Amino acid sequence: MPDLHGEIRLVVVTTAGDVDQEFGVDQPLRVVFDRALREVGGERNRDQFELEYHDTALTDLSRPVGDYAREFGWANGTHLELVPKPVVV
Amino acid sequence: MTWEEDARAETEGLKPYFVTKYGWAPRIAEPGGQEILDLYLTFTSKRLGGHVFGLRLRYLPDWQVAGRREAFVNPQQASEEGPEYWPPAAGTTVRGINPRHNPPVICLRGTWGYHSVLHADRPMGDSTLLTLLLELQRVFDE
Repeated sequence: MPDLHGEIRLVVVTTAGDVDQEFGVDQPLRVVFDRALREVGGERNRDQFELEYHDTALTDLSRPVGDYAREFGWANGTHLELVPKPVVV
Repeated sequence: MTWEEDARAETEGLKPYFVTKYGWAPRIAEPGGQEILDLYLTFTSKRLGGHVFGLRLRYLPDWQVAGRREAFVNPQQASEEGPEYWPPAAGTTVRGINPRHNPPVICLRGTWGYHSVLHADRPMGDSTLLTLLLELQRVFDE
């Protein structure tokens, strides 16, 4: 795992504005998800969005950011994406 | 803003990050003498072994209510359209794309097929072009 000193700077690309800020490695990924969701105004439709890294869905939002950073080798400035899930009815 | 200015704003405002990542290669065309603005894009489908599709989204004056009119075209010659350019209707199909429907439609928010044919009771609302394209890319890849 990179030397993150308790925080990691993540960039989350969304369909609206992007998030570029530091997050605590002990914080659950949900914090990142919620922050990105605010950018798109999707708070009321949480289930219609997903956080991804390199086309891999990060579905366990309760996992600490540091766990994912360790698993995927994230460094400061790593890009994630908040993407809409197709609504086909 | 006019319908056309709104259309231009969203077609020209696509986020470069996603355009580059997926190779959509957007191109705008305005057939002369008509109230039409066409947006051409290419989609490469992981689901269909890397097959490349050409998509035309046609903006007419009512697009903000009726949706963006969808048609798949020959990716090499965009003036050619027809069922042969749509994803398969049988075998490995693509979720939400209905080439067998009359007319063929895409059942995703933001298209004419969704808001004017299949779910006319569901308004366009704040459905954006980028959201539509990301959802479409997703069904092409899943």
